[in-house]
Amino acid sequence: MIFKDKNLICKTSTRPQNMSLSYGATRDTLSNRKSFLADCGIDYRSLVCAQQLHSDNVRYATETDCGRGALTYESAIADTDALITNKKNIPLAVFTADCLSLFLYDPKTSSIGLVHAGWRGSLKGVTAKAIVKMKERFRCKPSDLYIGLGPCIRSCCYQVGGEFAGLFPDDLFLRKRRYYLDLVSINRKQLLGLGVKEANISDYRICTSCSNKKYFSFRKEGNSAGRMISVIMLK
Amino acid sequence: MSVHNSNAEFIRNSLSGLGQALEVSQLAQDGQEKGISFKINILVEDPTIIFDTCAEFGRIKSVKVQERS
Repeated sequence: MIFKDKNLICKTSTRPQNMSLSYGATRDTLSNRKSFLADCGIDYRSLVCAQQLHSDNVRYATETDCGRGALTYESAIADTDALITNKKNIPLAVFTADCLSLFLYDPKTSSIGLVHAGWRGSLKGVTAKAIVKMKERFRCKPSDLYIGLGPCIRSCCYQVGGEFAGLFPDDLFLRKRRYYLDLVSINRKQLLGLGVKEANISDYRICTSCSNKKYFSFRKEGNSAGRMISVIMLK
Repeated sequence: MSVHNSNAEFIRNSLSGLGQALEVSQLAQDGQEKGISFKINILVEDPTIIFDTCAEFGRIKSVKVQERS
C-alpha cells in the first residue's frame, strides 16, 4: 500500500500474475485482475485503463469511463498515459514493467491521479502535466499533494545509449563507460518544480530489474515480460 | 475448447444459467486432434466465470472477449 488512508485504495501487483491485455492470454489476465482487485475491494469490470502510448496526454476519468479497458484492450482510453479523477469508486489503472507508475493524491480536494512514465513520457513531462491538470480541474495545490512512486527500473540497471545525453543531460550517469538513466530523478524534478514537497514523496526504491523475482522487467525479460497493474481509487 | 468426456448438451446445460444467448457448436475434427472441439458464444457480465466453468470440461484453446456497445 503506497498511502495509508482509509479513503483510498492504492496498490501495485507483483509477479507472477500478468495484468496486461495487450500481452499474454486474455483468460489469465482477466482472472488475475479479478483476483488481485477483489482483494482490494474493486470489481475488475469497473477498471479504467488507457492504451498507454508513452504520450503526455492526461484524461479526467468519470463514471462513464468505468469499464474502459477492463475486458478488452481495444475499449481502453486511447493515447493516454495519465488518469485523474475526483470521483469516488472509479478505479484508475496503469500497467508497467520497468516504466514508473506515479500515484497522486490530494486529501484536501479529495482527488487522485495515476501516471505511466517511461522515458518518452517523462521527456514530454507527463507527470507535470497531470499535476497541472489536477490544479486546473480540482484546484489542487501541489504543496498538498502526496506522491507515491511505484516500482520501476532504476539508475542502477537502466542502461541507455549515449544519445540520451542530449535528452536528459542532468539525469544520466556514466559508469564504466556506460550510460544509465535515472527515471525517478527526472520525474522527481517535475514534481518539485511544481511545488510538491519533498517530504510528501514516498519512494520505496524498488528496482524492477534488481528485484526481477518479484516484479516484471521488460529490460530483463524482453517480450516475454508480463505487466504489473498499479491501481488507485477513492472510496 | 477441446473436451474428452463431454458433449454439446452437457456443456449447454452447464453454461445456460450463467449468461444469455448461449451457442454451443461442435467444430469439424482435425484428424490429428484428440477429443472434441466446441465453439461457445455467450453473453455474460463476468467472463471469468465462463472460463472457470469451461476449464472443468477440458482445455480452453482460445478466448475472444468482445464488449457490447
